[in-house]
Amino acid sequence: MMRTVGHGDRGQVAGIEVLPFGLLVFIAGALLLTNIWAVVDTKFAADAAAREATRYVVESARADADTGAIRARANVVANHTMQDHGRPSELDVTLSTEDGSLDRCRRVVVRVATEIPAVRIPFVGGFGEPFDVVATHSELIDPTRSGVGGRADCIR
Amino acid sequence: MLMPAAVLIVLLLGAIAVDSAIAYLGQRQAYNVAFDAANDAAGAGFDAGIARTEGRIVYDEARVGDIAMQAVDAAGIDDLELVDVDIDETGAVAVTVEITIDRLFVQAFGLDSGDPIRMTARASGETRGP
Repeated sequence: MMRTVGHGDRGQVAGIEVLPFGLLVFIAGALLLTNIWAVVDTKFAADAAAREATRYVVESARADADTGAIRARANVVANHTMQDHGRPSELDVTLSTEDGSLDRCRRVVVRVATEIPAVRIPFVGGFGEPFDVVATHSELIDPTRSGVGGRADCIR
Repeated sequence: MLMPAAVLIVLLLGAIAVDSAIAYLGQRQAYNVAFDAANDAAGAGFDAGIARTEGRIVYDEARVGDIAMQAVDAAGIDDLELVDVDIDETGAVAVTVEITIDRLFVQAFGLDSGDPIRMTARASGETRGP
């Protein structure tokens, strides 16, 4: 008995309509993963921005320095750090100390907050409910450094 | 069947990459907080009287612990806690923190998020010579 082998193209395209669907799932998945990575990367950048701004304030605090100018400059430092990390997002920078002064022993807390869109498509832009990315950094103003105002009441 | 399997593998690898990044981020954050706490404690937790009269840095353990706790609290990171503050044999302040990391995709698949990570950082002070 001879066995016949089919050589025609009939039946070749069965199920081809599933391929675009699979491709769409793949693209959506890839976009989601890329965007989650963007959130992680923004968090790294925000951490660095908060740290740099805090370092600036702690190192700039002096009895004769203009506190307002230091606060304004800390904002600029945080924004520059974000830009240097390739994340030129709008930042909300909050600088606080226990009593608002920049005297020795005061704990300087800098909080950097930004938003990143839920989905971002290249050349189109971002849309969707944004993720909040927040980073906080704190440091004590050196109690023993010369030139800083206030009393070193945090050491005995 | 190969194409869906390949897509699944690519997505799975991406998920592993993201989860690893989240774990690395948490680890780095914990170390940064531990280091900041150790740095603050080493800079302000010493006995000023001994430093002035004898030129030595001697840490007050209770004071060092308080300052480290303030620094960890001020970091405002969820699931991060101060585990230990110690003056080690070299005279340095050693701060240990522990962070529990919520891995995104591992949790989504209903698996255990993993063990907490402990990080230790050290800092010490010294008096300036005459």
